[in-house]
Amino acid sequence: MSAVSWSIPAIPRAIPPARSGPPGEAFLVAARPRAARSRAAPRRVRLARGGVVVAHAGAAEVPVADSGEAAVVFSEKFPLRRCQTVTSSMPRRVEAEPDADGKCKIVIGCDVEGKWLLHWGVSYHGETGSEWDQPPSEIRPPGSVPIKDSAIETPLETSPNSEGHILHEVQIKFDKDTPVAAINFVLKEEGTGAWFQHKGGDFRIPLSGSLKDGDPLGAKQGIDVYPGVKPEGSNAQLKEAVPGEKGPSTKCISEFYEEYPILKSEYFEHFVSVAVTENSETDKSLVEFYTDITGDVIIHWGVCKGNTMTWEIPPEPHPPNTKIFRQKALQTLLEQKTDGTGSAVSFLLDADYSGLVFVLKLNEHTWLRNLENGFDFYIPLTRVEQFGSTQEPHRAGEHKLDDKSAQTDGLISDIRNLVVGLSSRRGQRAKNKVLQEDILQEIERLAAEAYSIFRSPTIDAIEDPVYIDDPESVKPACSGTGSGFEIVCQGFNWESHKSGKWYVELGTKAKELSSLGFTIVWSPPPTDSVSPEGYMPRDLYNLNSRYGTMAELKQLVDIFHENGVKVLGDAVLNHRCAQFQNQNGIWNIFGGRMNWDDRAVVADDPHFQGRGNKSSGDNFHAAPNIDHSQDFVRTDIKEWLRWMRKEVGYDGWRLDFARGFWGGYVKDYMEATEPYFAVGEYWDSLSYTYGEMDYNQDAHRQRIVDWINATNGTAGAFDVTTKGILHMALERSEYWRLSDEKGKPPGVLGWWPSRAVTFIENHDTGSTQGHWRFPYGMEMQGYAYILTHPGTPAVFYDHIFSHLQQDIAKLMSIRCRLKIQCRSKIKILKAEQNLYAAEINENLLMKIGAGHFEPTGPVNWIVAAEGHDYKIWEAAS
Amino acid sequence: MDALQTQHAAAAASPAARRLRGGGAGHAAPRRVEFGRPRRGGSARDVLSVAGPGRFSVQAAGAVVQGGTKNSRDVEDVGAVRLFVGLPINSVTDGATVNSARGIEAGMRAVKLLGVDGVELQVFWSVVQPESPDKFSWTGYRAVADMARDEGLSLRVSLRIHGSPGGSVPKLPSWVGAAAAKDRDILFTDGAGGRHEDCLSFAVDELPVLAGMSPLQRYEAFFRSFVDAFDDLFESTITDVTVGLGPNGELRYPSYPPGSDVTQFIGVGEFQCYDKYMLAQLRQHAEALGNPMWGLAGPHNAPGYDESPDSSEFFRDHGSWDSPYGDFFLSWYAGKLLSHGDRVLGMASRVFGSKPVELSAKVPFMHWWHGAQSRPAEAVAGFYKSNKKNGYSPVAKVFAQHGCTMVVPGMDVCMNKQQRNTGSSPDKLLVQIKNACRRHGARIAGENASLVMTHTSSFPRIKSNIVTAELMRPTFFTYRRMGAEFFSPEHWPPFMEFVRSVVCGEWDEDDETAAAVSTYDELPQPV
Repeated sequence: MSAVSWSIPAIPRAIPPARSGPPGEAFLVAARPRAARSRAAPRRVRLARGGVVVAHAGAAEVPVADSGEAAVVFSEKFPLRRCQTVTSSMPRRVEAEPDADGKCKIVIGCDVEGKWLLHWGVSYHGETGSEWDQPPSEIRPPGSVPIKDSAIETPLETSPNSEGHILHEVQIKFDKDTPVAAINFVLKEEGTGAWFQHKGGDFRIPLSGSLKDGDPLGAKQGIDVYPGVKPEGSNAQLKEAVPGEKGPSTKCISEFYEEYPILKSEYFEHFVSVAVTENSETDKSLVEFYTDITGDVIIHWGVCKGNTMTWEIPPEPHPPNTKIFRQKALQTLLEQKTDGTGSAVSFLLDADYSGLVFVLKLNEHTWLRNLENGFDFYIPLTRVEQFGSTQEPHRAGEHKLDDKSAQTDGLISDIRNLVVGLSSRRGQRAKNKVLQEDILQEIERLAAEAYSIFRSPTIDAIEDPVYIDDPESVKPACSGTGSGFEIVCQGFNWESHKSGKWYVELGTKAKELSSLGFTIVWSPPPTDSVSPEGYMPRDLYNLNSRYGTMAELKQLVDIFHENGVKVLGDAVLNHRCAQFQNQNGIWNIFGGRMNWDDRAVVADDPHFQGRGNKSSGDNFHAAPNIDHSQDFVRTDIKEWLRWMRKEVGYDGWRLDFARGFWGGYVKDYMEATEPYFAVGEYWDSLSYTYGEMDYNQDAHRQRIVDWINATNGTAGAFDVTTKGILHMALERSEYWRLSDEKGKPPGVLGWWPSRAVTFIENHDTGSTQGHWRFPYGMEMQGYAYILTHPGTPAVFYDHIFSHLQQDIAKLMSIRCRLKIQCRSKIKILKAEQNLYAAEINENLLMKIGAGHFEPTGPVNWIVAAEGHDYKIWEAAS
Repeated sequence: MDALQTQHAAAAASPAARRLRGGGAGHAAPRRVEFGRPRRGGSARDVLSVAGPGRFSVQAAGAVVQGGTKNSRDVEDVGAVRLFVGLPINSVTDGATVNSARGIEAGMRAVKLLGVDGVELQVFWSVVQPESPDKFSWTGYRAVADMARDEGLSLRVSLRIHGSPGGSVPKLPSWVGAAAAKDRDILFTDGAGGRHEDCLSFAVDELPVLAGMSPLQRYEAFFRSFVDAFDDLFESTITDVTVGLGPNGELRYPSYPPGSDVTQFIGVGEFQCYDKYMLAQLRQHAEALGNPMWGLAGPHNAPGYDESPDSSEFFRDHGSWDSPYGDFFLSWYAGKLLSHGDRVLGMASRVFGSKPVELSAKVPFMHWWHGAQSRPAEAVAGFYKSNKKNGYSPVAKVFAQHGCTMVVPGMDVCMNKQQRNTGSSPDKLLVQIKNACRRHGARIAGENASLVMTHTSSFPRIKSNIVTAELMRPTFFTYRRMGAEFFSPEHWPPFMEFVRSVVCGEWDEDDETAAAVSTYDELPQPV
C-alpha cells in the first residue's frame, strides 16, 4: 500500500527562464554570491531535522587521485533530503444495529502511524449551518477533553488489526434515538500538529436523515482531504447504505463503511560531500563528489568565473558519462559504488574558475537542491582566504550588538537569509516565519514611533498655558480631560478588597469626598480577577469582584453621580488571565463573552505562546499580554468599554500599565468610548547617572508625553516625572530640581499640563505595597506642590482618610477658590537648595522647603495655608 | 503554509474560533508579506564593484546581470529599479537643526528594514545660505546625511534653487529676496503683473543681479559648496544628485498663480514672460526675425489661470497657437526654458562630473488638458515643439547631452483619479515622455505625485510603471514623502506591502518559468 515517490522537485537554476524578466536575472545575481559566502568557510551546517554534519568529513571516502602536492581548497558535506510518501487509509464505519446495550456505534480509524486525536462536535436536529455543539456527555468516549464550548478532542486508541498492522481507532456509542443529527469531525496528528479535513471543511457523519437523496457525504464529488490525502476520492466507497426504519423511531440511521486515503510524506536524510584539492603542478583542481544515495544520481553542474555567478560549461574533456544540457550545464552520472554504499565521481578542472555550482538530479522530476538556501550548491574552487573578511550572515544575526547600525545589518542579513532560504524546506520556513515576523514587528514599531513624532514635532509648543478667568466659559477642552478644574480622588488602596463590600463602604463616603472638593473618584478594577486586588482580570464581562457585586458597583456610581462626582473605572487592558490551556498546557485560551484564543496574545512573551503580533509596548510578565494590533481584539475591547460606560455608568477610565501597548490604540478606545476624563499609568524609571537621579528628566517626561501624544491627547497620564523629582527634592533638600533649564516645572506638567495628572502616592507606590513611597512625613509638601500647580492633582485615599485630611482639605479649597486649573499659568520664583517658591495664576504664591521666603511687591499677599515647610499665600482682592 | 492551513482547520472546526475569523483575516495579513525573491543581493555598490568603476551603477549592474545572455533589449532597460523614500521636505529649516530628528531616524530605520535602497533629501538654497552670500551652513543637512550613512542607506540629494510652495521652507535666501525687492523684475511675472516671489526669472540667469554675480554663478557656488561639505559621502552614501531647475524643483515656468500651491494646481496656467528682462529678450528675438510687432508682449488672447482652453482664442483648436505667430511665440518661450535647463545642467555636470553620482533633474508631469490639440498646460509651462511634435523631445535631448536622468513625477497618477473634463491623460503623457527619452537616449526615473491613498489603484500603477514596464524602466523611484501621514495607520500598511512586493518580487507574477517553480514548490506536505 505504500508508494514511494522521489519528490523534491527543483528547477535547475542554470537554465535561465526562457522569457525571464530582469528582476529574475537580478535575483540570480543576488542569491549566488550570498550562497558563495556562506559556503566559503567550512562550518556547521544546519539540518532542518536530524543533527549536525561537520565539514571536512567525506573526503576520505572519495577515491582520491594521487597527487603529491595536493592542497585541500574545499571540503564539505551537504545534507540532502528526499521525500517519500506513504499512502494509507482512514476507514470509518457506522454500525446501525444496536449492540447488546441498545447502542449504535461509529468507528473512526486510521492506520497511519502517529498520535491521533479526533476533534469533534455534534449538530442537533433543526440546526442549519455548520456550527458545532459539544457532544452530550453520555456519548463522549473516555479520555475526551472539552475544547472551548463547542468541541471535544478524543484520542484514538491504538490496536493491532487482524493483519497485524497498527490501527488507531475510536468508537463513539450513542442511542439510536439520539437527538444528535450528525457528528462533525476533523483529525489531528498531535506530533506534527497537522489537521485532516474534508474538502477544507469538516467531516460529517449524519446519524439521521435518509440516504435516498444520494450520498450525504458527497463522496461521489470526490474527497479532498487536507493535507496529503489524495484528491481523487476513488477509494472512498460506500460499502453499505441501508436506509430504513429502525423500530418505532422515524430516524434513519445508515450503516456504512468508508475509507479515505491518507498520504503521509516522510523525509529521508542523505548527504553529498564535495572536496576540492589544488594541484600546483598541473594547475588544475581535483573535484570529488560522493553521496550516500543509491541508484542513479546525476550532478547537474557548471562553473563560473569571477564573481559573476553565470553558469558556464568548462571546455572538453568532460568527465565520463557526461551530457551537455542545453548548452548551459553539464550532467554527469555518478558512478555507483560496487558495495552499494553510494555513488561518487571525481574529475579535474582548470584552476582559473572561481567556483562550481551544482544541483543533484535523481530523475526527470526530482532535483535535490541546497537545503540551506533552496538553490544551487556553490563550491569555491579558489582559496577560501579571499572571502575571509566576509562576515557570516548568520553570525551577524546572532550577536546582540550594541551598535545600532550593526544591529540593523544583523537584521538585514537575516532578511537576506530569509530571501535566500525562501524556497527551502518547511522546517526552515517555520524558523523564517518567526524571524520575518520579528522584523516586521520591528518595522511596525519604528513606523509607529515615527508616526507619533511626525504628528506633532514640537510638543513643547503645543501647550501654551491658556488663561481662563471665568470657569463658566470653560468647555471640556477635549474628550478625556474633563473641565480642567478636576481634582481626582483615588478611592481605594491595596487592602480595599479585603472588606468584600468596598463599593458599599466607599459609597458612604461619597458625600464627604464631594464636599471636600473632589470632582472625580477613581474606583478599583471591577472585573473578575485572579488576584483579589483586581489587576489580573479574567472574565471581563463578569463585574462581580472582591470589591462587591455588579449591582453594588452600579449603586456606587449612582451615589457619586448624585453627589456630582464623576467615576473612573480602572481598565486593565494590557493583559488578561486565561481560563483555559492550549494543547501544550499553556494558559492562553480565554473564556466568557470575549472568548479569544492565543491569537489575542502577543507573540513575544515565551511564557504564553501567543500567536498574535509582537507587543507594541512593554510586556507585563505575569499574565498573557493582549495583542492590541488585532482588529478583533480592539473591536471586543471597545465593545466592552462601551458596555461598561453604559451598564455601570463609568464616566471615564484609569488605564492600567499603559506602557504595555501603543498609545494609538488607546486613542482608538477613547474615541470609541468618549470618556469625560481618562488617565493612563505610564510608569517607567527616571534617568539616573551613577545612582544619582539626573537633574534633567526630559527624556523621562518625553516618553510620557509621547504616549499622550500617541493617544492624540484623548487621555492624560500620571505625572510620574514630577513624583520622582519631588522625592529627590524633598528627601535631600534639593529644591533646585523643581525648575527645569527653561525655568518651568520639570515634570510632565511643565510641558503638557492639561494632560498631566499629578500625584504623590497610589496603591502601588504606597499603601501596604510601598514600591516607591513618598518621603515619609513630607506628604503635605507634596500636596502643597501638586494642589497649587497646574495639572490635574490626584489625592490618595490613605492620605484623605488620615490626620492629613484637614490640611489637604484646606489646600483643595484654596485651589477651588482661586480657580486654579490644569492650565493655570505658573512662574517659578525660587528654586534653590532648600527653597522652592512659585506664583500661580497671579493670585497665589506658594513655597516649600525650609528656606525663608516672604512675598514682596505691590500685591497684598495674605497667608492662606501654612504647615511644616510649606506656606501658601493668596492675593487680597 | 502549513501553519496557515492548520489555523484554517482550527477555525473551521470550532464555531468559537470562527467568530474570530473576521479578526483572523487581519491576523493573516502579515503573512501576506512574503520575503520573496530579492531584487538583488548586495547593495548596488556590491554589484558596482564587480563591474568596475562605472558612473551609473544601475546600468553597470544591468550589464553584469545580462552577462553572456545577450538579447535585443537596450542595456538601460535592464537594471532593477532602486527604491528611495523622500524625507520630510522640512527636515531642515534653519540650517543648523534637524526637525523631528528622532522621527527621521526611526523612519529611516523602518524603511531600511523594509528593504528600501535609500532616502531622498531636499536641500534648499534658502536654508543653506539664508543670510548672506558669503556664508553656507550645512550642519543640519549634514546631520541628516550622516543618519542615512549610519543606517547604510543611499542618499539622493535634490538641490533646490527655488522655493517649495506649501512647504514650511523659506522661498529664497533673504539676501536674494532683498535684491528682488530692489528690482522686482528679476522675479517671474505674469500678464497681470503678479510676481512669483520664490522664483527668479530665467532671463536673468546670466545677469549680475545678485550682489554682483549672476544667479547662475550663485547656483554654482551653492553646488560647489555642497560638494565640499559632503565630499566624503560621495564614495559611500550619496548616489544621486538631482538638480532643481525651476519652481518645485522642476524644469518649467511657474505657470500657476503666484503664491498658489503648484502641487494642487491643475488649470491651464498663464505665460510668465512679463518681467522686463523677458520682454526685452522677446522684443529682440522678434526684431531679429523681422517681426517686431510680435515682440511687444505675450499673446493677448490666452486664457486665464483657471479658464478652459476653449474660453479664448489662443489655445482653441486651430486657434492662434496654430498660426505662425503662435509658433513663433511658443518656440521662443520653450526655447528660453530649454536654454535655462542647458545652462544649469551644463554647470552641474561640470561640478559633479568627477563624482560617482547619477545626475538627474525633474520635469513636470502636466497630464491635464492633454486632450486639447494645443496641449495648453504643457505649452505655458514651456514644453512645446513646432508642428505639434513632442514637447518633451527637446528637453530629453538636453538631458541626454548632459548625461542627466529625467525624473518623472506622477508615476502613480491614474486616469480614474482625474477629472475627465480637464482632458487629463496620464498614460499618454507618460508614453510621450518615454518616447522622447528613448529617442534621445536619456534615462528616466520616477516619483509619485502624492502619497497613495487607499482604495486607489496607485500602488499597482507605480509597480507596473517601475517593475513590469517593458521599455524605459526607471533607474530609480522615489516615493514621497515621510511625514505623519506617511506613517499613519491608513497609509503605512499598504505602503509596506507595496515595498515588499517591489523588493521581493512575486513568484506568480514573473513569467512561466517562475510559475513553474512555484508549482514545484507545492510539495505534498509531510504529515
